[in-house]
Amino acid sequence: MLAGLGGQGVILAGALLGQAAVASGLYAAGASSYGAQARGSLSRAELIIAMEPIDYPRVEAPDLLVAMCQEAHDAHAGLLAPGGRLLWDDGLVRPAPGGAGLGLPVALTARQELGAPLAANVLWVGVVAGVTNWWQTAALEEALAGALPARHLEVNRRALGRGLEMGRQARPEA
Amino acid sequence: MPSHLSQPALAPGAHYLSGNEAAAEGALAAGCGFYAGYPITPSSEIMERLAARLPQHGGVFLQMEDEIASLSAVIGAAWAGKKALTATSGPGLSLMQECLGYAAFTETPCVLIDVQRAGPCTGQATKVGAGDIMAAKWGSHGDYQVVALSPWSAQEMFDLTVRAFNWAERLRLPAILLAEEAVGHLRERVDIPQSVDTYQRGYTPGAPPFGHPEPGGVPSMPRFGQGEALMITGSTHDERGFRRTEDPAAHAALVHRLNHKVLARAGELCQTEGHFLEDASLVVLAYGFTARAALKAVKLARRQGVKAGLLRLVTLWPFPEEAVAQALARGARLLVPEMNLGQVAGLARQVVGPGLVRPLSQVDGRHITPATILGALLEMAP
Amino acid sequence: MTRALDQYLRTEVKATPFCPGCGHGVLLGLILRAIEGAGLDPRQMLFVSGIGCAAWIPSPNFRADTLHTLHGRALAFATGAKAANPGLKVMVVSGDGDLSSIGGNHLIHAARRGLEMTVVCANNQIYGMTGGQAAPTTPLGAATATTPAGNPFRPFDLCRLVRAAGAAYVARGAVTRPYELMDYIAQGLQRPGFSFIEALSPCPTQAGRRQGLDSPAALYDDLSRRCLARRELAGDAELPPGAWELGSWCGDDN
Repeated sequence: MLAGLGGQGVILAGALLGQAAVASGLYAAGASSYGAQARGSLSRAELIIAMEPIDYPRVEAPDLLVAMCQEAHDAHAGLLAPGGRLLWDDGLVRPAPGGAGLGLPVALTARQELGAPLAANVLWVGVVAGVTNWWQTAALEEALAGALPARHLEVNRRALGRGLEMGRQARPEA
Repeated sequence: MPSHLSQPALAPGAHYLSGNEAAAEGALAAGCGFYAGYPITPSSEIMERLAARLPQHGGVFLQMEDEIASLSAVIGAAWAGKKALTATSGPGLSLMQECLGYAAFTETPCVLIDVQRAGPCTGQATKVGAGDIMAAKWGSHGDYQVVALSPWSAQEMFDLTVRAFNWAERLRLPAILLAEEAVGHLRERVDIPQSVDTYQRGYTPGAPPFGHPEPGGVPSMPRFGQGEALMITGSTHDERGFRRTEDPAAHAALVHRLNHKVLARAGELCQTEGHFLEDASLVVLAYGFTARAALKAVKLARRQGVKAGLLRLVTLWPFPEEAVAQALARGARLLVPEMNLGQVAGLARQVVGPGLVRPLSQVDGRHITPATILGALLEMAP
Repeated sequence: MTRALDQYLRTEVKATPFCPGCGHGVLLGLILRAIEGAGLDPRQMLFVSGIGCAAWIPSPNFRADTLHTLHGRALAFATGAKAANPGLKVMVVSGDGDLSSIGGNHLIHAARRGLEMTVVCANNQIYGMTGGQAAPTTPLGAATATTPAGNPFRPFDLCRLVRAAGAAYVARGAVTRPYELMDYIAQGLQRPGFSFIEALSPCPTQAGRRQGLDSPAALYDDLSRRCLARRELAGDAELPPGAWELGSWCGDDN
């Protein structure tokens, strides 16, 4: 489950992950919720991926939760499945004291390293794929190319690559 | 009869589509050549996709001034020879009701996709509901029939849109896809087949366009510009289309024929799906998105030793009375979870009597979760 | 003369439903003559109508494809048919209440969209079929079944309305000036784009008798007196009260 504010690209991130999962031969079911305002209200993308058809397509207790802002963290952290993993943007989220999980400087990296603050969502896509190792990189790149206009593609490819690196480093076994 | 295999517009194979996108692709695969509509949440993605896709496939797309004009234009286009579609949500369905009756009474093939939201009235535009079940059947005045199907997945948004077109064309009537926001906006893997069965309307030059020698027969369907001098009217008419507004027998015969045309085929029209019904003492009767939650709840209940089953209604109209009666014939009781105040539960009660049916209604704009259904099953369990 | 139109009529329909003195029977003949005059064959056209007396002009009388639709919706049905098959020659014939009250939204949008079709609006300034209630075209002060003390509201100027909405060709004629009206309809049929012809057609049964014009002859005399052709009006002179300006306007005049 990915959660953030409208305008942070949460829904697109979920769609890219779902698209790439299906392209890799998996089953995927994604849903999103957002407020009536296009910008600034809480926004959430949920995704199930599976080897076989999915009975109930909504996420009840996520195994992985990405909180892209404080409000999203506060609203969703409690949903996490037992043993589930919580990731947050450590420049934007102050986790609950003693909360388990890992903060990553995703927004900061997008802004400073890539010079593209709006690519933070794709960076998160890379992080999710890197942490879980469930996605094929080629499928993610293909999904990216299918979803973005050519002028934004290059920087988002770099964001995906950088996210994958950050995610791999954050693997529990790493 | 004129059934044949058509190639879908989208490449065969696995795609990741929202239910609304899948419905638009289903329409193209079914041979839809005309769309007219008016934007409304949560159905607008259907029209947006067709605005781009229909012209690529030789079809015509029109954004109309309102929903009344939309279904009106669809009916006009159907008689001009196109397979035609509109999509809307509850408030639009309300506006389309007079046209729906017109389409039924003039035997105009057309498809209406209703992506239901939380009503009544404007309600919660972005939230889910399933309160249009009765409106789809009884919303226009008088006695008439429609075919209404209830998809539970993005895959079925594709498959059942194709089927809705086939029924509309085969029976010459409005067919309704009673979808819900939760399915319209659900993104899922959709497997596009190599080919789909499609139905081309039958036309016999010179045959009466509003009558058939067989009691349940479907008349020949000419189109404008064939020199048939068609007379189409929403007034009571004879088999040629002449108005018969003073003739009691003509009116009764027409109303009976149009209803019989559908009800005589109830066996073929009523599609249901059973899960774990063989030994079930508690049967969840569900449809649409709620059936997804019900399937999970049934599996969880079985793990706790409760003999639960699921009877899923794919067809809502005509109502599958036979399947509901059979489910109960084994001595089971029914739990009917639905996102309205018991619209299908009421129909089930008409079939099996009030004592055996427990409604589980939720009208808060949220879908019903497996946990809610499981809770009710455990309460009912002996 | 009538015999010459037989080929375009369903002669098995023994009589039109129009009351004695109704202008719609005259209009029926004028429409067919205008179509013929424009070099077209009505039998190859599609006629779409709504609900009301005027909607029965083509349906079932014309031996052509006729689509008798719902109240107010003729233009929306016609739009679908025309867009689906641009090869169809489409004419909409309906009344003032149908086209400009319940169907008013479709009228301005069809004019805006500009799909090629010709609309003949039979304007009798009243709801005839339902018993003489006020229409959006009923004159200010006129007595009707629903305005017994006189209509408190101004009527639409339909030609101005449709011109403003962007029609390619707009005209107003009257059944009391048949050749002019026939010419307007033929002109409309020959224009690409959306054309609209308002045909003033008196209703003795429901309008005349409530308004002190209780014989068809008196009603026709009255209409004749009120009609002023554009060319008969000097410059920008104001229309006298109760008068009709007859004439035609092209889209590029607007």
